[in-house]
Amino acid sequence: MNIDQDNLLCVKDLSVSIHTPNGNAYILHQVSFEIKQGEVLGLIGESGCGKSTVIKSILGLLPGNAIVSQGQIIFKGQDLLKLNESQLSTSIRGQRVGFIPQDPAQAFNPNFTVGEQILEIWRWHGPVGSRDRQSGINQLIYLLDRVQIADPISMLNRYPHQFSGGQRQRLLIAAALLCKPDLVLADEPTTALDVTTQQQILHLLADLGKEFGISVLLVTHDFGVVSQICDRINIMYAGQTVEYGPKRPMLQNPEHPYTVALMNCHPNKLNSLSGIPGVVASSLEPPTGCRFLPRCIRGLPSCSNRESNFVLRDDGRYLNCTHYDYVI
Amino acid sequence: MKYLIGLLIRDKTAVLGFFLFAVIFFCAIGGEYMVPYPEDAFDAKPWQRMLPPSAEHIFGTDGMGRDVFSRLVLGSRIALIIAFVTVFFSMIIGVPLGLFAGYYGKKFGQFIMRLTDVFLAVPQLVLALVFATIMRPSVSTAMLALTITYWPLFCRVVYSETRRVAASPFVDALEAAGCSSKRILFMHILPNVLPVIIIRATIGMGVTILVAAALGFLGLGAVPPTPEWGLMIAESQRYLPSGWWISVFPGIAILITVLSFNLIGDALRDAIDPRLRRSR
Repeated sequence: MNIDQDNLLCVKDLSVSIHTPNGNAYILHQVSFEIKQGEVLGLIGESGCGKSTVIKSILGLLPGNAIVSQGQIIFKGQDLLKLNESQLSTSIRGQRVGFIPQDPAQAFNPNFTVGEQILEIWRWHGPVGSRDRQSGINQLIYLLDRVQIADPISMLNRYPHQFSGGQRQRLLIAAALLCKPDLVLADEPTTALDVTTQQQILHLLADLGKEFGISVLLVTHDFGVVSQICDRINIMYAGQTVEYGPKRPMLQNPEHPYTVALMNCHPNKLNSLSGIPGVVASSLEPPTGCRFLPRCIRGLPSCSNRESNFVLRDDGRYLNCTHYDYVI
Repeated sequence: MKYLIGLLIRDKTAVLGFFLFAVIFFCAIGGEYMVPYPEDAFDAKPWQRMLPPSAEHIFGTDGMGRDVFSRLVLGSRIALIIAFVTVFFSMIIGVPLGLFAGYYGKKFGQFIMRLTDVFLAVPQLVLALVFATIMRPSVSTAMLALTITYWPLFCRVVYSETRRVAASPFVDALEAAGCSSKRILFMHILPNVLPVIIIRATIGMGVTILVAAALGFLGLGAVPPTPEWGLMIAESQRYLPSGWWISVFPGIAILITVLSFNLIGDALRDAIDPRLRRSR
């Protein structure tokens, strides 16, 4: 896949494998995508498709037994995979790249007030020259106000357990935005919340991203979310990108059978709740040929013969399916 | 800090614990000036053997004619020194080892845990007995033996608690926010492990006093005529049951000391955990 190098973040042919006692697990296989300044990219797929691994790779927080066998992660012109641990923790994590964790209930240390914890990030990563406590508090209060937390000053002295789930997630968004990062990685930020709160939180995130010019990588499995706030979508299956491109054509006319199947899972129609039969292909022994073949409704015997290649379509969409490979 | 003190004052059992501890502590500091017969700590007075409790000797006198009350008060110093020194050094060894073993690396952690297994496989009292036998019996030998046998317990609880806390999502979030691993370990994991350390320490103080008393009872801790509670009970067994006061009062002293440590420990644990504060 050819990717323009002028983007904020450009993940190129990223392949990650994890060494296990049962052999190498191929978690990611040549994943590529790009995020432009101020854009929201949705990363979609079932559990176990490698979405979180993508985020961990960007932050350099892969487990010790993981190996990046191939690829580049170009962020503002430098390859994050080439940076060492101290460079990553002093200049990337928390500073240029913010992270919003999955479960707000457990994302704070229960023993400290939220104010203390969030301001800790400011102390290491705030703008050089104004890392003092007071300017951190000012910035945080401004952000808490923006994420619609009432009475932000007194909230700083509260402990995590004194907040509701939605409030905690707002606090996490404020924490991720505190040091004005260029990119925010949101790992399923709303799975632990109820539907109404989800909507509010996601719109808040998207709006703030647009306002501050921050790009967002949103990991989710909810198409409803994606259709509302994302600019582009990357659909992953078993560690591979299967369909990637601008939101509108993909939602109107999904091509890859996996995309179609995922969209049918969304319970917005009157039909009963449906799923995709089968489970995600094992990363230890991926099937030969197309990895989705065992579950694909359009699968043909010929699909197992070869790996598919990316095809760029007229509407700017990349497809990774042997069917389309044939046509062109 | 002010808030913490306020919480502890409102907690009735904590106040009781601190009060008992304060009494014992003052006895330990200024025992000589508080007791009627300070010289009785060491000097035998054969002409007043085995006197039952009276106005003159409120807890009676023992087989050597020494005032039991005076010896009890003076014995508190040794009891507290044994408890604090043993628990302090056990913590110095056990807590950092447990933290590092739980947070860094599998091999180091496994090595440390197998090491503690070796120590834990031998009952504490037996190991303490061995040490006391190899070296000359004295209070410091008893403290050394108790430290060597007590640190693995600290190490174990800190290790397992560190592993539990290190796996929690807030540690991932901190890593993703660019927090150094040293800072995560000492500023974030350690405070979460603190409650179990406090529990372990207060239980440890109580147990240590008891084991030290047992060592003294067996003649392997403090040597006569040191006014040590365990030793006092040991010496008194010859005079039972008629001379009951000689053993009962040291026993009560041990009980009260152990109780005060446990009450304080429980109160501290509840006070430092913000989630438990609500219930008060």
